[in-house]
Amino acid sequence: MKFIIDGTAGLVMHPARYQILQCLRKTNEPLFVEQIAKSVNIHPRMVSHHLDVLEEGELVESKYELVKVNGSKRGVAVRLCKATPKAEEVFLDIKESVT
Amino acid sequence: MNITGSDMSRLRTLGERIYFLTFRVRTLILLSLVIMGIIPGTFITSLPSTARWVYAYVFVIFTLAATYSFTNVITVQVKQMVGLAIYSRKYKPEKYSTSKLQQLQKNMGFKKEVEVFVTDNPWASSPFANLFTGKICLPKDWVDALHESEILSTIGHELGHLKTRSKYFLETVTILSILIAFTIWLSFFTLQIICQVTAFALEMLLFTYISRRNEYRADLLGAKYAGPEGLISVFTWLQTSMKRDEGSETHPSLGSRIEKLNALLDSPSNSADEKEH
Repeated sequence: MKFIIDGTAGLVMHPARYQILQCLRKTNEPLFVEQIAKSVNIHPRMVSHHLDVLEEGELVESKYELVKVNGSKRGVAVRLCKATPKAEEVFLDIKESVT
Repeated sequence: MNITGSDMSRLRTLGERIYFLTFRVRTLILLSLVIMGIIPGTFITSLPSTARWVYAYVFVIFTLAATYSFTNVITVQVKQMVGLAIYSRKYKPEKYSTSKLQQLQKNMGFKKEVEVFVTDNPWASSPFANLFTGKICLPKDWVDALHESEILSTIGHELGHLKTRSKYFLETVTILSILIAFTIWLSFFTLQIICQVTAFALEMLLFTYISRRNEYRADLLGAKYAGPEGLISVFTWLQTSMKRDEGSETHPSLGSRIEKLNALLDSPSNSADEKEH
C-alpha cells in the first residue's frame, strides 16, 4: 500500500503510462522513444512526455546515447529508457491491493 | 387510481432514460423541433384537421422530451454553481502560483496576474474559469492526481477561455440578435406557442455550437503556449473514468478534442518553455 498512499501508483494508473511501463518491463534491453512509440502505438512526443513524468517518479531511468539507426553511418542521439526496480515494486503493490 | 411501487420505479426509469438520452438524440429532437416549427408550423392553419392533430401530438411530445431533458441538463449546472457558492466558506480555496504558471501567463499576454485557486469543495468537479471575475478554479483531486506539466496545460486551457472571452461574448450577442429577429419573423407565420418553442430549440442548438467552438479555441490556445502533450494526457486520463464519451451541450467529446490536439503534435514543438531557448 506504500506506493498507493504516496501517490506513485497514481502515475501508473494513466492508460498510456501503464502501456509504456509494461512495454519497458517486458523487454530487458533499454528502448528508445521511437521504439516505444511504435510498440505502444502512441505519438513519440506523447511518449517523451509520459517518460518525463515516469522518470520524475523514479519509475523509469533514461540516458542519451549515440545509436546507429536503420544503417546510418553516423550515430543518432537517442534517449534510452528502462524500467527501474521501483516500477516492479509499484506493480506488485497494485497487484496486492487489488487481490 | 393507486400508484404502486413498481409504477413509480417504471416512471423513474423512464425519467432517467429521457435524462440520459444521448447528446446526439437530444440534438436530433431540437433539430426536429426547429424543422417542424418552421416548415409545417407556417402552414398549420391550411393543414387538414387530422394532419393538424398529428402535428400537434408529435410537436407536444418532442417539446416535453426536450424540456424535461434540458431541465435536467441545466439543473446539474445550476446545482454545481449554487453548491460552490454555498460551501465557499467551508472549503476555502487556496491560491496556486508557480514560476512556470507566471511565465505561461506572461507568454499568453496577460499583463495582470490571473489568480488561480485550488479547492476541495465537492461541488467543483472540474476546472473552470469565471469569465466575469477572471479567476480560475481547480479541484484539489485534479492537482493531486496530475503531473505539474498537465496542471499547467489545464490552466493554459482555462487561460485560453479568459483570453478569448470577448469573442465568446460577441458571438453570444450576435446569436441572440439573430434569434430575436428570427422569432419576430416566425411570429408572422405561425402560432405564438410554436414560435416560442422553435426559438428555444434553435437557441439551444446555437448555444451548443458556439460553446463547443469556444472549447476547441481554448484547447488550441492553451496548447499553443503550454504544449499539446499535457492536455492530451489529461483528456486520455479523463476518458478512462467516463462511461460514454459523447460530449455535452457545453463541451465536445474528449475523443474529438484529442484528435484536434494530436494534429499539433506533428507540427514543430510549440511549447512556451521551449520557445525561450
